[in-house]
This record gives sequence, C-alpha cells and structure tokens, in this order.
Amino acid sequence: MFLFEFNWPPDLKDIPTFSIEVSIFIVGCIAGIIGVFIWKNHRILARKGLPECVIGFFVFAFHSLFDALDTICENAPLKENLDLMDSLYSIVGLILIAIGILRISIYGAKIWREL
Amino acid sequence: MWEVEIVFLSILLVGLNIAFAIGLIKHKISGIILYIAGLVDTIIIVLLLTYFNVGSFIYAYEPYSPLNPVDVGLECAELAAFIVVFCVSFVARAKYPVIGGKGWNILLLAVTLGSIGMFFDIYGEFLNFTSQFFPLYKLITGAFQIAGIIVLAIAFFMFYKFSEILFTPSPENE
Repeated sequence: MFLFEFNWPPDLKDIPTFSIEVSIFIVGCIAGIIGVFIWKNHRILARKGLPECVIGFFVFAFHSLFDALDTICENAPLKENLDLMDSLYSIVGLILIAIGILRISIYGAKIWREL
Repeated sequence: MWEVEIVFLSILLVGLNIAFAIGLIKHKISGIILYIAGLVDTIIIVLLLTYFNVGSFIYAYEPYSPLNPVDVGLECAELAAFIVVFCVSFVARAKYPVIGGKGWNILLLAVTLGSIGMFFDIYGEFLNFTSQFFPLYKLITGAFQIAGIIVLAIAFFMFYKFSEILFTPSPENE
C-alpha cells in the first residue's frame, strides 16, 4: 500500500533499518524531554544555554525521522530531498547544541561572579 | 599491493594502544587524547576489517549507488559538526571551569560515540555491503548514535545536579 509517497507497511527488507532509525528518533525525543525536565527543575541555572540544547536535541531527533521516511519512500526526488533534510537537521541540531554549551558557560561564569 | 599500508596500520594500532594503556596506568590521559585515540582506533580497525573483508561482509568495493557529492559532503559536515561540539566544550570549560566537573568525561564520551557513528555513516557510502550485513551495519551505526544521545542527556543531567550542589549555600554559611 502506498501512503502518499511512502511504502506502508514497510517491505520486510526495510523493517530492520526503519526500526533502528525510528528508535533513534524516539530516543532523541526522550533526551529532549529529559532536557525540558532539567530546564523546569533548575529555572535559574538553566535559564540560558539549555533551551538551545533542548531544541538541538529535538532537531537532531528529527534528522532520524527523515532518515526513516527516506528508507520507505518510493518517490525518487522526494527521497533525495528527505536525505538532504536528514543531513541538514543533524548539522543544525549539533550547531544548536554547541551554541547551547557556549551560552551555558558564559551565563554560568556570569552568575558565578555575581555570587 | 597494500602490504606496506597494512603493516603501517597494524604497527600504528598496536603502538597507539600500548601508549594509551601506559597513559591509563599512569593516570595521564586527558579528554582530548581519549577522543582522538577512540576515533583513530576505530578508523584503523575498520580499515583493516575492510581490507581483509572479515566474514565477507563486503559485496563489492564500490558504492551501492553512484555517489552524490552533496550527500557525502553533508555527511562530512555532520562529522565536522561533532568535532565543533567537541572543541566548543573545551572553550566552554576554559570560560567556566564548573563544566569540567561532573559530567565532563561523559560529555566527551557522547561526542566520541556520535563521531564514530558518523564515521560509519560516511564509510557506508563508499562500499556495497552484502544484504545480510546491511541491517547489522545500520544497527551498529544506529547504536552509536542512540548511545551518544543517551550519554549526552546523562552529561547534562549530571552537570546541572553538580551545579545545583555547588550553588546551594551550606547551612553553616546561612
């Protein structure tokens, strides 16, 4: 059966790859949710930097969702675009995490001086 | 044909791990050495496995489909992004040494695992694996990425827990 441009349920040969990629997406989302909990519990310490990291976690998780959709996609141009989105989301997610870590250090140093 | 390269890689692998073991025994291993040793070890082992085609996991020494330079370039950029996160962590630690406390080694481990996973992703673009090995290859790549994400979340959790203890005034000072 074709659901839009996707082969659903996936072919037997695609199931292992598809499952692994979906698991990365789920784990990435769980990591993002853990980040949200940390953010909620450390309101002052996590005010700057952690939000960027949490968004980075979610963006990085979505890279794997695009990877999974690319595995079951039947339309060649769409497959190519999904592959492109997969890489771009991964790069953007990692850059956001890097920015977050930098902002955590700048903000941490600032509140440390104020103490 | 590749004998010289194989001998060189084998010597490098043994030498690197002996130096690494001595460093570990003497407790003189810094995070950056750990990262580079992990990455270089993985690359050498994978290259040796590829050359000897252990378990005949390679069907043909050529890409499965014609290589798309944009695709490969972006995957290399992903690996570069992991290296950027690694370098940024050191800049952040220099600015705010608390980052080097609890969770620091775990953060470096997360970036190392992610970089290795990304290296496998790039590696797979250049070879045509057998249909039996391909799901296993995807599993290995995915396992490194999943482990990297989990370990990164743990690193953040430990860092904030440590910061909270550090910023909470002790009852004696109140």
